[in-house]
Amino acid sequence: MSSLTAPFTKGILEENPVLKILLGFCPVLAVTTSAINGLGMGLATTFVLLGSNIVISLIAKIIPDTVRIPCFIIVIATFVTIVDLLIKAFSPELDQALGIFIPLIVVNCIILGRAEAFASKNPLLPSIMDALGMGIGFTLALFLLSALREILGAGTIFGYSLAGDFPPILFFALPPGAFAGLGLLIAIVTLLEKRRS
Amino acid sequence: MRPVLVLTLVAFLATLLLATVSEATKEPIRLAKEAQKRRAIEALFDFEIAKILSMNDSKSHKVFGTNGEEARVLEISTREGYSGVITAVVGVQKGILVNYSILSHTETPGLGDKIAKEGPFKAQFSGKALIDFNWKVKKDGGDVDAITAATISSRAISHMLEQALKTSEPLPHSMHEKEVAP
Repeated sequence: MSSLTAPFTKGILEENPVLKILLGFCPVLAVTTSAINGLGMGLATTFVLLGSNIVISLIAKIIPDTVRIPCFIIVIATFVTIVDLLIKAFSPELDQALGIFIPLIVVNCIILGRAEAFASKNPLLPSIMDALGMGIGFTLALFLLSALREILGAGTIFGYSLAGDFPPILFFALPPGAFAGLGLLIAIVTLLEKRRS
Repeated sequence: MRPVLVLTLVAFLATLLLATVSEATKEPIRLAKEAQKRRAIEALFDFEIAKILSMNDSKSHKVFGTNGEEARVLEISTREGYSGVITAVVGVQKGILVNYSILSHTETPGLGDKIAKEGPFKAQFSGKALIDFNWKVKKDGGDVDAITAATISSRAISHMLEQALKTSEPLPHSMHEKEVAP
């Protein structure tokens, strides 16, 4: 049992891909302008991660080492394209909000990283748990940063205005605000962890 | 030899899968786009729409309301935005701009994408005619209140709406009826 919970929880806390391992910053910085974007991107990435981890853990044994990376990238790109098409076909509303970010998932190094570091060396079930853990950890980090930026930068959360009349800090809606916000988040997480130990 | 075969096989299977999904989603995507356009057109006017007639070029539509209202809808696109193409439907009634709705755009999320959202920027164009409004952003000496930190997107929309009004030929008597229009 613990062999399955360990790969799951480590992605959320001690090996959180964004806040601890500092991977995948491109989508993290780019899409976290509103809470719904952050959440949607996180969930779409989790789905792709799950699909690619499953397929790669199944086919890893028959793939020769020399063409390992190209094969992984084909698998990942295929999943991303499928997600993109399915969202366009069955959820036009989500497509309106996220459409331009979905193709970005292909270049998310977390997905290739998990394929290379975990799924290709582990059996199916742990790979699934690893994908879910890392996906949730990624989603959580995106959500925290995007909520912070939406509250400070636009004065809203999920598009709803917050009570109280304070001027929005435009800085947080702009790209530099993403860097500052992410830095703050990582500092807080590191601080909390130091306190605990 | 084996690496080549495996890579080819993986690529082949991926292509097969993608072709299937692409084929299966082609029709739903087209329908979703049509439905989105229809909803966007319906949202432009505050009267109940009875039917929409499309002109030959399918970029211009005549809209008839259940109570005899008549209006024009123009599908228009511009490359003047900050990034990529902006396409929109623009509702015009008796030479007056009723509203517009963005169908697709790739403006900066959080800044330029406010052109598509309900708010003061969008609202300022409603009820304006070609002549009683200077269709330029204030920075360029016009009347348009641009979105903060998104002047280029605002400029593109202003110009796009001006073009839409110019291309929509006014219906007869528009000059007389303009005064009583809301």
